[in-house]
Amino acid sequence: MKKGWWKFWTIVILVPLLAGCWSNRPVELRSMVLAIGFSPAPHGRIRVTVQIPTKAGLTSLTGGGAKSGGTGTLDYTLAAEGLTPGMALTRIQSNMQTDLYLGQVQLVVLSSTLHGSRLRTVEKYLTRLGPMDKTAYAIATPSVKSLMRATPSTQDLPTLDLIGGFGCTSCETTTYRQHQWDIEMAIPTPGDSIWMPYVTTAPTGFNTGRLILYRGYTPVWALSRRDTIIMGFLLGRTGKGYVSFRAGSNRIGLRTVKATPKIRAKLVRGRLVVAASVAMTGTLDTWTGPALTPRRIRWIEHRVDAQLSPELFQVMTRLQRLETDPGGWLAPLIWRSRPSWRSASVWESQFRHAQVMVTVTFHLINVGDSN
Amino acid sequence: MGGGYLGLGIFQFPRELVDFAGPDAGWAFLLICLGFLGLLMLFLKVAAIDPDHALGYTLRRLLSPMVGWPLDAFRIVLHFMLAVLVVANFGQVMRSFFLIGTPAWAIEAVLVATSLYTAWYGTAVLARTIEAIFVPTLIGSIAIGALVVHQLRFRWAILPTGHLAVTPTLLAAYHSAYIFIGFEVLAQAYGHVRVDRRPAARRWLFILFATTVVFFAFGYVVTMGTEGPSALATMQWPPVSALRLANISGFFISKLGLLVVVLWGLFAMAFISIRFWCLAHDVGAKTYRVVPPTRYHGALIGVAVVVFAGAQGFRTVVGVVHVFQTWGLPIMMGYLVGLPALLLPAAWWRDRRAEHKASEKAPM
Amino acid sequence: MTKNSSAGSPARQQRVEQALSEITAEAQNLAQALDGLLSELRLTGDLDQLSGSLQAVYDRLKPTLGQSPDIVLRKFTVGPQGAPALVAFVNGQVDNAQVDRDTLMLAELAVPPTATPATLFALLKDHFVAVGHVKTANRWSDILPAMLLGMTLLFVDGVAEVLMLDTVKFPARAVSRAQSEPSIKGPQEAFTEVLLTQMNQLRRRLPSASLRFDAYQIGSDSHTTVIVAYLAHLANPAIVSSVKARVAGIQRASVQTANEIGEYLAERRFTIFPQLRFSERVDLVARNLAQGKVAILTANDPTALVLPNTLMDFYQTSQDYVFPFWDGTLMRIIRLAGLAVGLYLMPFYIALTSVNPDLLPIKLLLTIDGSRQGMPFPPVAEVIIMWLIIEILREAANRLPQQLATTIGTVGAVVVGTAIVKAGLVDALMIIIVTLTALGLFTVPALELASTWRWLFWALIVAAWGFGIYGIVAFTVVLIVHVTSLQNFGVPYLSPFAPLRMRDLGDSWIRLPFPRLPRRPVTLRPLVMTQAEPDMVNPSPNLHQAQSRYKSP
Repeated sequence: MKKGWWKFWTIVILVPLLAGCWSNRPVELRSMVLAIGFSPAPHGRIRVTVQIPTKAGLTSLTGGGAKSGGTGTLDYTLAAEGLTPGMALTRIQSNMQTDLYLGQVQLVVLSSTLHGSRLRTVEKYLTRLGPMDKTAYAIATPSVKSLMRATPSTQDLPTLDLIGGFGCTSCETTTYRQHQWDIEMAIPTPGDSIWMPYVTTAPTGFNTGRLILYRGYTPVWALSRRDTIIMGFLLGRTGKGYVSFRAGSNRIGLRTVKATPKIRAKLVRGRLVVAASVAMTGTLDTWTGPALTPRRIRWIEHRVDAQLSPELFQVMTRLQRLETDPGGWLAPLIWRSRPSWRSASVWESQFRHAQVMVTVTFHLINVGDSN
Repeated sequence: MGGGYLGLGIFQFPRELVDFAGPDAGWAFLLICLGFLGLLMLFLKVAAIDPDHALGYTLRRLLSPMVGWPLDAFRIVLHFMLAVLVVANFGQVMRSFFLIGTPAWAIEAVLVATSLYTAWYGTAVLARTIEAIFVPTLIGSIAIGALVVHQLRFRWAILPTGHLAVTPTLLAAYHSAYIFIGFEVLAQAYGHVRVDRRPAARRWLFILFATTVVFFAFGYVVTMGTEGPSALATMQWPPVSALRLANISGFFISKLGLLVVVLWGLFAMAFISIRFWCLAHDVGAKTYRVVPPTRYHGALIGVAVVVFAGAQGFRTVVGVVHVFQTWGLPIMMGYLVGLPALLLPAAWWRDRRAEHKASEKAPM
Repeated sequence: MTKNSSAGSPARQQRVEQALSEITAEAQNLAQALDGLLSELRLTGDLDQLSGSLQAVYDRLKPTLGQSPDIVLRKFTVGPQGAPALVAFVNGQVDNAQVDRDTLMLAELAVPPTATPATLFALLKDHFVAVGHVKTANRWSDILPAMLLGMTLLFVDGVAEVLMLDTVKFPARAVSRAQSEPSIKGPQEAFTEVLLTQMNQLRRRLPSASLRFDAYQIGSDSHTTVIVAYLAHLANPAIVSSVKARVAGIQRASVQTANEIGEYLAERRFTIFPQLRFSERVDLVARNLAQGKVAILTANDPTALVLPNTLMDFYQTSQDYVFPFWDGTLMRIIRLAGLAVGLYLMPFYIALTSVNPDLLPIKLLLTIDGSRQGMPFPPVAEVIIMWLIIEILREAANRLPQQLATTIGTVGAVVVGTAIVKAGLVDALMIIIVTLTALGLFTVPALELASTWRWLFWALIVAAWGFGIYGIVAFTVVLIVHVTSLQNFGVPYLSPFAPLRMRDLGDSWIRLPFPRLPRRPVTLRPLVMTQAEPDMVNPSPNLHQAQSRYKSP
């Protein structure tokens, strides 16, 4: 053992310890970006907005559920513009003293006015971004700025409040969350279109429960709440659908309506046929008619079929008109048989002329403690 | 000697498979498995020709020094190339996903140093360490994979079509052959197994091969199912991206999928350490398989330094893939097919001549 | 003698006189010693050889050893003819009562008048039965150490041999409870410092004819007796012989503790993992002997060495075997969990907060981030601070008497812990993690392994700081490689896990019921594998009647 060794090791160990180099940067020196938003800016530029919790926001989580240090706003936003998202982020970074950290982005907010090549640039950028977490949720909103500034009445960190629902599959009417990776995988797949939640702001926080559909990189349809539920049936994602209608003199109300769709695209004599058969179940919660018998239950089920089929069909045909395929129903067909269909324009036009069939089979599985 | 060959393919598979074969990817995978099963058998036969001598020696003796020497040197260069590629590739993966601020050379240095130390104490320790590491890593990867199974959006892409396009399938099989490249070292390890345990070793080798096939099949299902064929083909490291989606709540570490990068670092480490071991033996051995410790250690350090330096030549993964697909793969496949094709007939000829001589001598 | 000194104060003169008288005394001693040596040299031609002249013996002993007050040299006469004899012993090392009794008996000894010194010697030798061993020796190099270890020497004039009577009686403490390896129930007996007692304790537990104690004297100054103990019918002879060879090969002036022997036996000198298990528990050593291991007992050290060992051995305690197997298993699993927590919790904390925060769930990360706001030091500096505090408290508690140690613990835990958080030097989460780490590492049952983990902990911290989880994994691999490369007298250190020994897994991190452990550890390769007959289903022909009133047939 040479005598100088301990000096050497002390230096080798201490220098990195105190400096914190390479990938080593303690959390308090990182600015945790919770949400990152992209919106169009003049001259073909892209505006990037990041939302970062303030010190009050960070300490609001400690000490259990009770608010301890939570005075003042919980987060702040920074925005910059650039020809590419990276350029904008560099501008944001240059105005900050801590490291802009993208490894914990929870939410990617896309402006619904962002489309075409600029959305493409954004998505390509996000795909290439190594540290970016692909399990972040993606949403669209008419105004990134107001979404980022919204303060929910729950007094939670806004982003965590918003994504709270996405993390819980049985909490929402429609499980309509989309991860960033869902978007990234759907984009290059022919026969698959992207869609995501469409969130607007309200004085009490966020207005959720709607979807927005894209055709390629262009948003084409922001669905109403009702259409979102129907769309949810077609995607198999509605867990708490509600159907209510009047049948003769009686009112029928059904809750927790779930659907298991089977949607197949196939070629019949050179023509594309999209056949959707949707098996649904639900719980009867309103029935003003006479006591239930098996026959009457069957009658109710038929009425539901008759009520829902056109609604579903309507949505399907609208999708067809808009040439968008959020369920990726055509993708298997394209993948297996038609190399020429790989180009979007070909399958979109095929889809537009396809024959659509919708069959709904509803089953009551719960009638409650009443006849 | 567990999974010395997982380190190479695990990060890339099944990109080329899908890229070339399209909907026939499944068939191509089957073809690779069958093809390599055959090659494995051939290599076992090669190893059994003369288990007590170094392969280089056998080469020289059977094929005359004129052919044997260059062939042996060529083998060594191949080993080096594979090790360099794996080191460079792993450094790039880590840098892209896990240690973004850390320079690749530091990551690679850790990998090379760990592999060096793993190979340091020789065959038994190497085998035991890999035995101790391999199974947990495999189980860990499969567990993480299982977390994304419910997210298989593209289930329809997994099964191949009924009609088979021959050329794309063959091309895909060829370009994806890297997943099993490296198995030939197992055959080389054969000579280090005690004579009485060789049949058992042979059985284990096949079990190992089957495990790897299942593992890769699982990887194929998960990657294909989560990413879909089209997105998959656009990525550098599709399985890494696929498993990064594994995410659980209610635990201290939620993004378990990211750990997969590190976990597979162990495969890369196993691959490289076995490669080091092989190289050190090849460089150090003159005639017999057993190499004296000093020479072994010296050779080991030399090999590690060369591999580390070589890996510094690659700045991005694009270079790694390009070099591998244009140079590495054809050379390697040529070697894998060529070596048994040269050695086995030569050995057969030798045996026949020996028999002939014996029968000539017998009457006298 | 010094009449002619010029002037000089009386004090000075007195000093001079004193010095001169000292020199004279020394010179006389030297002269006496030289006389003794010379006369022996003259008689035997060899300085080491006993001459038979009692005067020479006396001259040789008196001025050298005889100077110390604890050495007793007594001349006396034996028999009617008054044959001169000399008794020499170390006062305190011998049983005084026994020596007195024997001396008395010597006086009463009926010696035939015709007896020559030689026959007298033989007579004496046969006569001593009260003492343990009686040996004769004729070389000083054998005689002196024996006397200093408690033998009584009996010289007879004219005989060139000495009788060495085993009157050894060390000041010994009573057999006490095992302090360093406590067990809630079951045997509590610990070894004492006295080698003979140690052997007796083992004999009582294993009264087997094949229990061997092979003695070695080690240390040119200390003459420490070291015993290699094993069961000859089952311990692997290769292991036994190599242990013996290594013990015999130790060349060292002084050996005071078992550890000094132990560090010579370890195959790799610098490995951080302990190769030898030290135990003061008799039952543990006896169990290990019965498994086919070898134990080494060292005189004056109440800890026995057990070998060969695997890593797993350091996680097994006596307590695992006195409780039902479910308890034993649970305790071991908890120890494993303790190890995992102690070794990895902190490195993971460092890695996840500094290098790979992307792996954490967002709420946990925000909580940590919140608690770390405004902290002056990076996490790793906090670890250093906290760990230093803990180690200092620990060492302080070790040095203090038991009663004060509790106070120190309280002071450390409560006062320092709370104050340091209040002062804002270390965040609260760190206190929790440091405490868990310390507790986790203290679950190691074998003390010798605890420091191993404490060292490795730091290596892991550095790895985590530099490379995050990748660093932790890479270092773990290095650790596994290192542990796998270790061998302890040919036994792989990581067995039964690598290489996998399925049969031995029953007594590893789990413990099966004893009837299900019919074999000794395969990895030790003992001569007899079976330690129990295959588990029989208990025969119970009449048990169905037990609950009814039993009628004898």
